Amino acid sequence: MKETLSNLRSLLSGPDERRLSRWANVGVPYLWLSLFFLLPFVIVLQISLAETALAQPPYTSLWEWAEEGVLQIRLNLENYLLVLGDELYIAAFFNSLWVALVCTVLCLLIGYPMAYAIATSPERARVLLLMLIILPFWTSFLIRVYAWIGILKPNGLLNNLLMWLGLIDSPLTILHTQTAVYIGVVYSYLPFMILPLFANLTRMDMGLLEAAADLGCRPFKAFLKVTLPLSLPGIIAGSMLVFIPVVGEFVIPDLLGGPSSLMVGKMLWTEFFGNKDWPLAAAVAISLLALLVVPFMLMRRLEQKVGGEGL
Amino acid sequence: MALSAAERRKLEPWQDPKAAPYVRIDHVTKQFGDVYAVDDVSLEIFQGEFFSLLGSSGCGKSTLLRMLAGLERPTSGRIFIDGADVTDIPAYSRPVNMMFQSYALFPHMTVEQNVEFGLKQDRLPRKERAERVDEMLALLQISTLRKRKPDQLSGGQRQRVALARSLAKHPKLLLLDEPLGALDKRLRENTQFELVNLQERIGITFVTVTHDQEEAMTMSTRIAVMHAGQILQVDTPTAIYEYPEYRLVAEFIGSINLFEGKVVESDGTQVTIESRIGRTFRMRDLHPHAIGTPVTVAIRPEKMRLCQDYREDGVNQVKGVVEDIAYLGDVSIYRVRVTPETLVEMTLTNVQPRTEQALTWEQEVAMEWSPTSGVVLTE
Repeated sequence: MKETLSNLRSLLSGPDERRLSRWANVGVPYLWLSLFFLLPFVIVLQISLAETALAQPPYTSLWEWAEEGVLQIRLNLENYLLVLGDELYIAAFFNSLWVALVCTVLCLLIGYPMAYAIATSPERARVLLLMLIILPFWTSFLIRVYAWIGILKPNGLLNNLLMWLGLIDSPLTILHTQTAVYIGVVYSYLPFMILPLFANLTRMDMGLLEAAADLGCRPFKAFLKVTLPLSLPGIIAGSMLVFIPVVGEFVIPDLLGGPSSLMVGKMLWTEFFGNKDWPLAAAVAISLLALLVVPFMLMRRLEQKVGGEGL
Repeated sequence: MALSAAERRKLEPWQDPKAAPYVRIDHVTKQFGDVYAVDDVSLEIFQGEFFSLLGSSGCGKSTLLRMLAGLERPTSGRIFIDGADVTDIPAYSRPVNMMFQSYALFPHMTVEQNVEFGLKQDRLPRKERAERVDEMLALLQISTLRKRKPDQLSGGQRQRVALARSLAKHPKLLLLDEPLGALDKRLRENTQFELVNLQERIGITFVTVTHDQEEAMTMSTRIAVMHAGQILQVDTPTAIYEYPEYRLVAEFIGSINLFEGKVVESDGTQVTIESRIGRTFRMRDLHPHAIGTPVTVAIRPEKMRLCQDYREDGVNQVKGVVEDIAYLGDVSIYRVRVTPETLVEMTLTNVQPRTEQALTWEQEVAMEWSPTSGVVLTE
């Protein structure tokens, strides 16, 4: 017993101890990532290369023992060919990217002034205003999206209000259109734009704007020349936090969108749970991932470039 | 080499009743809530001056400077620059530039771009801008740093860039907010001389804010000493040092010995004062004081000298025991306990090496000064 203890102690002390702690420091997060990110990814990738089967799970295995000592691996690329060849899928991908782009721009246009106002407000008001941004997270996301149905439907809150104000005569059709998807997405993802922007803008030295004014720069131009470039890291971070999840968004187009609002997330859901075609759904998921990696890398590069120069 | 009256007026325009001030601050007050940051200040600054606003932190000097820059609006009063009322003109339209205490360099721009920024706002042609940037970088000897970003510069280099940026537009009036605050002593002294040289070469009017009396003394043509939002005294560095009008001014600049007492005799040019410590002083009186007025006699430590013939009824003489000696190399400061409540400071030049000096701790020493070596103050 004593020996084991001293053995353990010698293992934990000296240069070994440092090595161990270093391994623990680096190893634990990597273990976490590989367990909960890489492994599921490999499983999905594997499913995407399989064929459907009426079995449990509903897809074939990639490898089987054909005869004694021969391992047969069958990779089925048909799912990918189908995804990439089918106009419906292509349209869904494009529509998803378009919706994500429009919503990111809208979130930026709405979120930037809000973040700026919060960042420049007095300390006590700031806490309250930030609280109001975070408050919606205390309710379920699903319930909040459902609530929008009540607001947007033909005899819902919005139409009643507009008619009561006399702005319109007959109810507008908003629910189950692309517009409803935009509204829902912008509403849901706005905090993800505001928070990183706020974090960036509060760190900005307001003395720089005074310096700009002193050098003859009008307030709006000072914003364009000083505030905006310095807040680029915040803009990029916020845009990524909105753009990437919105491309794969499923709940909002499903609840608020109409038949025309074709989005990848919704198709994925249909393939998985409607058609029970797991391999095809997995192929869609992998394609989506590949599609997102490109803008992500581009933005990361831009961010690094700006980050190195800016703050 | 005596100066003619005309020459003197050119050097000291505030002496000339006909000279028009370049900056005129007219009964300016700035309130933040209930606090009077600047309280009814009037001031005239002339072209080519190096004017310092001196005071402890919170005395309103920075607020006054920011009002000149247009970054703060006076609650009441008017500000004139070069004869024009600029009170309502925003910062970006004023012919004034400022070097900020924090330097406020744009972190996303290179040194060159920082310096060029103001010129771009003036829509100067590209060629002219490039020339001006080159000129400024050469002037401040930072040409080799032109492609660097502010975070790649040392404190001294940043300060030069900030100065170059504020000078680039060739402003008629340059405002400096604690310009040398962040520098170490040596760099600071060099820069002080450079600033003065620069000012003489390009003839700009400088208004600077500082809490550092030494800085104000070396650089300024005139100093305004501020306290609690008000200006106590405006004068040349020499006059501020030698002839302070208020105890606060006397105490703020350098060290000074203050003896409270009462006027017992006055002949219009000299007063005799019975001091609280029981000694009699006879001083030259610049502002005749009536008999019975409570006054304070203020004597600088270096105006004290050793007294060889101390007498019980001697005038302008005090005696005490050396309590503390601070050896500064060139001079030594002696703290002498005159009465249990009074400590007198005396500075003596170290004519002899310290080891050879007779004056040491616990030793009794008598000191004296001449009637013209100090001032008589009432407030």
